Amino acid sequence: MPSFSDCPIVVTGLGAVTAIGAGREAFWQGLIEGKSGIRPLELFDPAAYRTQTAAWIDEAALDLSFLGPRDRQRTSRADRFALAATREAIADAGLELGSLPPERLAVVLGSGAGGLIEAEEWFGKVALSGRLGQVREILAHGPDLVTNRVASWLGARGIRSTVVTACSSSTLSVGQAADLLRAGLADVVVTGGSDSLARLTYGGFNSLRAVDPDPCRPFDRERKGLSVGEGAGILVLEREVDARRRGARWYCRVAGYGSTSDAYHMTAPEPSGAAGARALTSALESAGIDASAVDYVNAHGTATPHNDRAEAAALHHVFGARAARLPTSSIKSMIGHCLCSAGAVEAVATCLTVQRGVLPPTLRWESPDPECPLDVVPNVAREQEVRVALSSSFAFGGNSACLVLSAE
Amino acid sequence: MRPLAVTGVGIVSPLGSEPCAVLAALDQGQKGLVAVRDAPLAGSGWAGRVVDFDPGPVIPPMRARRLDRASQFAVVAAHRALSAAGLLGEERLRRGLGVVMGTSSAGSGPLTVFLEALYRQSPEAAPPFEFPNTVANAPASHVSIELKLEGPNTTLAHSEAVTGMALVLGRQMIEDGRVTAALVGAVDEWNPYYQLGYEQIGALRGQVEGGGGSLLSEGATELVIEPADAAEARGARVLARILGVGVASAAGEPYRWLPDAGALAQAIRGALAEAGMPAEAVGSVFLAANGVEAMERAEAEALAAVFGAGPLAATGIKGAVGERSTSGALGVAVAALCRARHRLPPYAGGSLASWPAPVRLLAAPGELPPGATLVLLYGFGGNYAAVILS
Repeated sequence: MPSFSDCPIVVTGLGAVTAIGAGREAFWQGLIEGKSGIRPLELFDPAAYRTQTAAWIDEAALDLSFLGPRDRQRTSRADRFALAATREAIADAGLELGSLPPERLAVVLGSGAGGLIEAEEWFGKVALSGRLGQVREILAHGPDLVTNRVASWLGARGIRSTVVTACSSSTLSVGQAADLLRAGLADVVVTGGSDSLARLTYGGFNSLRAVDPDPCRPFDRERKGLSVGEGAGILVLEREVDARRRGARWYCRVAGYGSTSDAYHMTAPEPSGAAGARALTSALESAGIDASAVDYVNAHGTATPHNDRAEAAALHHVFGARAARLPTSSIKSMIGHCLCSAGAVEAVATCLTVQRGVLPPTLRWESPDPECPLDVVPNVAREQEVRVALSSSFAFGGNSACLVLSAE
Repeated sequence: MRPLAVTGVGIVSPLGSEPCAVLAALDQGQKGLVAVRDAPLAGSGWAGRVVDFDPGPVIPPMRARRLDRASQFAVVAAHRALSAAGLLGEERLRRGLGVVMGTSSAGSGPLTVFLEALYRQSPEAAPPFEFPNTVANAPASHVSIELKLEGPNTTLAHSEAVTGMALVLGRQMIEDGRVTAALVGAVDEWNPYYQLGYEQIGALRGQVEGGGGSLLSEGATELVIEPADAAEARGARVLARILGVGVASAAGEPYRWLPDAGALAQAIRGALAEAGMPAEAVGSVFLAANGVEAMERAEAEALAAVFGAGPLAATGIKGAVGERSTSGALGVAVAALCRARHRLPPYAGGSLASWPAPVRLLAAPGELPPGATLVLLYGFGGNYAAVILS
């Protein structure tokens, strides 16, 4: 398989559905304006939960006019997020679906809860009364359904894959999509991820006391936990030679990626940061890029006390003293933790950062944490040229992943 | 592609957890199907269940308590696969072994326990220790934690065909120089809610053992794959070589069977192209036949399109173990074991009473015919894969 430098992979299309904006440009505008999508949760009644806020999406803001009424009813929230972002990304890439050989069009997405929020209605009825719920409720369950739904909408007949490594799912999906292109197993890959909020994930993180009752404050000394989010980020990847041949423009290159396992604990990060650092180092090695060339890091930055501390330590392992000066922001302060789609949404943001030279901020950062000595681009976006950026994710189970995105 | 060697197999299945026991059960026509009509909420039907499973020899009891059932399956299968390959505890593999696991249902047990408490009591009553194991990557992560494996670790969700994609990814990890070997396979856990859900949407047609219709399965199967030349250089026993893998898909409703002979033929041709061999070089096939008549007809059509009159000595295991992601990995593992012993088990049954050429169903155990072995994989939602072993 050719290396990333011998077979450059480029991002030719982007789509996004987030709590601060439906659509790529609305999302980007929200990021650089420092808009927060974290607000009182209305998707289900949160009164009995420990916290009541989340970064959730009002579907009324989505353009779903391309779906007929039957498709609207049969799809899950996660499906609809993914389809809206896919439609946008394909158009952005300037691809005519009918002109692509369907056998060479692959779909590689990350997801986890998928359509669980709809399936929970079914589980609830069975658990409470023993009676069956609606068929359409149980049909939503399963993260691979999102991939199947997107692939079917595209008419794709190539490889399909659904990466389910919790919060690093859709960072890995982008890396693995690039691998398919390098290996010549596809010509175009629609990748990224989609996930929706669910009672399980909201209740689960609350049961672990990992949710901040107020909007989250990544890397701040007073941080108390994450804000749960949802959304979709979709990237269209092609080999640079193919994109150039068809006259397409691109945002940036996927220059490499890393994937490692902490082999430490199901939920706790390895505290020294050495394990997390290996994912970043592995990504840079695959890209053939030295750490000194990195201009910006889009951090995982969940805002839980342990995770942020371990991530800061990992950055210091990789960048040494320069980590304290290296711009490193967490957009989870605006869009919440989108769980299995977090990596994809953050990858979309990082592609735009590389293309546009504006660093999105970390909101609500007021008190420096001596254990997180980082330049978190506090509260206000910053103009800065970015040639090489990292987008990293650290997941339950110790599944760590990192993308290297570069201007060239 | 650079040929890969299968040097170790670990199995936890409805037919047992020792490779020789699984092969003997298949040879004797035994089935690992149990009636689930007595299980709470499970409705009526059959499923391939793992019974009398004891993780004790591999996982100490105190640690086993932290692992859900699927994770216990996965850790035991991974331990056995690495042990069989002579690689257990090898320090060079701590960061040099990739883990790629497919699943259709991992996390479902903890998920339903958590949701039952959430609905029946309150969100605050939901047990926090269950939540981390609700993620589908819990089994692969527990493998990395229990066996101290720090290399790339990925879980893929799809139906039975996911093993095809897992093999592609494992191979890419090796070719990319990220790892020197990979543990590839799948894991599943039977769950009464899933049984009900699948029944409700009509996926489990046929509620009688041996009758038409797919049945759910559970267990874990892991294969150790490494470059064939490297395996031979270290003196490893090579069960089989993987020469090609093809993956394809069909568009349609994601929650339906999508019979598509063209997609399966595309996967077979992709595998043959990777193997660099003509169709005539294949002598035997492990059918994906799952008891769903339309899928089996599409499979017969695809085989005829690629292989013409054949003949292909044909067997299949789903009639004995059911179908989930894990049955796909088990199919590849059994095929590798059969290559090593030069003998095929009889066909375990499906929907079609007879198959047209090139398929020649084995009614009894038989000698492995000359030529490569093709393993076909398909499942719910339009996913297809083909693997060629020699």
